[in-house]
Amino acid sequence: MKKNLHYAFVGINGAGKTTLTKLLTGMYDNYEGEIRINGRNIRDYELSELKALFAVVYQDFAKYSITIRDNIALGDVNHLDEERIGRAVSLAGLKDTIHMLPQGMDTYLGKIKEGGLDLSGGEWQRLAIARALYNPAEVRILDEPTAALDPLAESNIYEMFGRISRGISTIFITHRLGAAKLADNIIVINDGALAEQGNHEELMKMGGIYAEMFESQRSWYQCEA
Amino acid sequence: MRSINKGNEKDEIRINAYQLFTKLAPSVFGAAPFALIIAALISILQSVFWVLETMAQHKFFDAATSLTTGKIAFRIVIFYLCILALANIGCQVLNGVINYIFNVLIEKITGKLSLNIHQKIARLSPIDFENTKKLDDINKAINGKNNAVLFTLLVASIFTFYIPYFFFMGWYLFSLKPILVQSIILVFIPTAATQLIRSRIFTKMEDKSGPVRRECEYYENCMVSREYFKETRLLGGFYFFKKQFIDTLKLLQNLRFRATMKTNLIELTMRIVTVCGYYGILYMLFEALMNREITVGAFAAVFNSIGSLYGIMEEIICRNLGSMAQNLGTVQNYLKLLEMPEREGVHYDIPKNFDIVLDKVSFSYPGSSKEAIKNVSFTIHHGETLAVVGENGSGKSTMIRLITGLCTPTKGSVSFGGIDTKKLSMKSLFSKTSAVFQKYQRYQMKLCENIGISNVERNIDKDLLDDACIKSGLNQEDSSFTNGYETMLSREFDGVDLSGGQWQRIAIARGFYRDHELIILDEPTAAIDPYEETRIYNKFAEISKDKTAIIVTHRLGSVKLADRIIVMKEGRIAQIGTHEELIQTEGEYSKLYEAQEQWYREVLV
Repeated sequence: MKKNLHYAFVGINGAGKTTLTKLLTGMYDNYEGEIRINGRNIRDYELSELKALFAVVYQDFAKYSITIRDNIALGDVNHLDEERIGRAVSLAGLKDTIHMLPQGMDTYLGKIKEGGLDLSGGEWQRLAIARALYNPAEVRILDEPTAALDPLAESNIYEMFGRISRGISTIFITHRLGAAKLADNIIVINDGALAEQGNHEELMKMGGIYAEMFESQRSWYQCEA
Repeated sequence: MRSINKGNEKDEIRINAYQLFTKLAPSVFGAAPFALIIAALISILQSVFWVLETMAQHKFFDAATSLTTGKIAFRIVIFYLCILALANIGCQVLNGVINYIFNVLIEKITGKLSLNIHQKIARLSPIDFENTKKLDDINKAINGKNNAVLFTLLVASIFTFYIPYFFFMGWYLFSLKPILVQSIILVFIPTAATQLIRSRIFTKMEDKSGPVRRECEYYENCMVSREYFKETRLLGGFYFFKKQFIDTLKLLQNLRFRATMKTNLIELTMRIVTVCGYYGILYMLFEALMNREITVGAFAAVFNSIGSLYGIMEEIICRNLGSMAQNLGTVQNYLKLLEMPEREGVHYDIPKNFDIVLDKVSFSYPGSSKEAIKNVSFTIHHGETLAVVGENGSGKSTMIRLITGLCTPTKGSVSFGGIDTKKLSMKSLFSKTSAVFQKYQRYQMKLCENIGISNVERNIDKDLLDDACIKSGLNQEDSSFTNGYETMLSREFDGVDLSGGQWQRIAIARGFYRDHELIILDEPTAAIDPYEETRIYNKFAEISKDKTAIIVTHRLGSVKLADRIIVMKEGRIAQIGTHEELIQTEGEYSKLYEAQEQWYREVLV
């Protein structure tokens, strides 16, 4: 994988997409073979170095019952920079939502504090993305980030993604292939192995697993008429 | 869905110890009536023996003095010595027996009170769990349960041991010299006064510390629980939460420290008064002896038992009543839970083919003034497949809660086969419904149990399991299930960890496994790939032909199979109709559809 490119991992459930990211971030180290980052084996990295390289938005990202500001600031706990937080918020499209809250960024979320606010699924998702944006890591990984979103919000996030992923390595894990189209390079994983690789057009021409999946999804949206 | 939890209404009702006891007594007595009666009798006997011991000392000392002057025979002294020894042994044996019985009683009664709590929680309306204040009350009640047990046993032992003991002792002292009875009062007053004040302080503290404790536990979870661990670790958020944890812990300690400090100061003052009382008694005894009103034996025996008199008084008031006073607040919390309003309703057999009618339904979450559902009316016919779509926060999930009867409307009514969901008991309401929600549980149990849990009244049935798995596309012969249906789904218990998609399929299989006339899938397919999703929905349409089915989804491609589609917007029904009808009308549905469809629109190959 090259720097500053936008990658997408696609594949059916259980194909190994999430496992791959766990290997990258050093969560598992009982694998065979070699993973190199900048030519250096990741086993040689300190765990803290490795952690600093990646910002991950997990499928089941954590919804911390703390203030909105702290939720975002967790992305980079050692440096509190209001300006960067503000930028992350507007990039993630949360600015208006937060603006409407009487306590703004200091609003407590969840049910732990009295008066705590519960966000909707989409708002939480954006908050998790804002957290990843605030993280100064070089590689951002988004694991199925739009699963719980409505079509409009999903579409917005894809567009936002196109915007924010410029100039930074991004790995986008998805099985909604519409989103994969945005990627510079799509990696199709099947049965734990790399099955196909290329951009959208190349893969469609290849007529393999990717093309088949894309057709299946597209067929939902074709009018029977 | 969004709800603001205010819930700070002060509805504290202070009830006194007498009321607490009379409310607790029936269930405590019911837990172990026989053992309690035995314990009461032994307690009374024990108090008698304590006084007998003092009296035996009195007789023995007198006899021993008489022996030195040669007035009585040696064997009479030995006789009194034997009586003293018997009284002493009797005290010790009874003490052992009563301790044993109390330990058994505590177990039994705790069991009974736990059962009460669980049954009560089961009868609460599901909407109560949306409210911070109510969650707090439940947490406090569970904390208060053990203290409730100790409280009732203590009250019982006051009546069966302490009061009889002081009564017999007082009677004995009175028989020696009436004025000596005052000594009991001298011992009693200062110690009792301390406790009264202490009780006040700690009840106040418990009310304040409840929310802080919950917060503290939450931060701990952020660091160590399975739910948060992965992300907190990768973010390096450990130190952040550790700080929060320590800060709240300090706050909690501070609250406790201040309360303890206050009571200790009061106690110190009272102790000084107590010591004065002690010398008062001593003086009275000495004077009586000098005036030859009591014998040397009586002086020695009473002098000897002033120690145990103080000891017992301190035991009951400082240790027992004292710690009880601290915990009286928590016992109240236990009763407060039992008195929470319940979701009422009667059992009613819902007919097999029932329509669900929503009539002018509005709903707002407790503590929120905003209506999540506004004046919605429609009928779901039996056997129909209905899809609910709409943006996040448009009220889809709330609507599902109202349709299933999990929540009851604030205004208007929802009825099952003509019966209002408000009037139905939860058991009969849910008997015909199966639902798979966005947030399903991942039980750390075996695969077969994870599916079979939706129908616990029946033993796990292999054929039904197979059927549910086929319908949900779960292949238990897959390599990730190392032991078929017996595979343990938890790393912690030496089993396997599954992918999000597989968990979702298990949740769906769980939904199919349950007997149902109405089945609801509330966005359970988000983590399932499109191949599978199409297959599951087609299968779903096929098997739910003669059942009422409701699907909530964001993937508009899969709602085509529904007989009718309801489009929600801001708590209202924006559109209703079939896919063909809706797509041809300019509106909310076509807007959502286009947004999703554009990503696939590009002309290919």
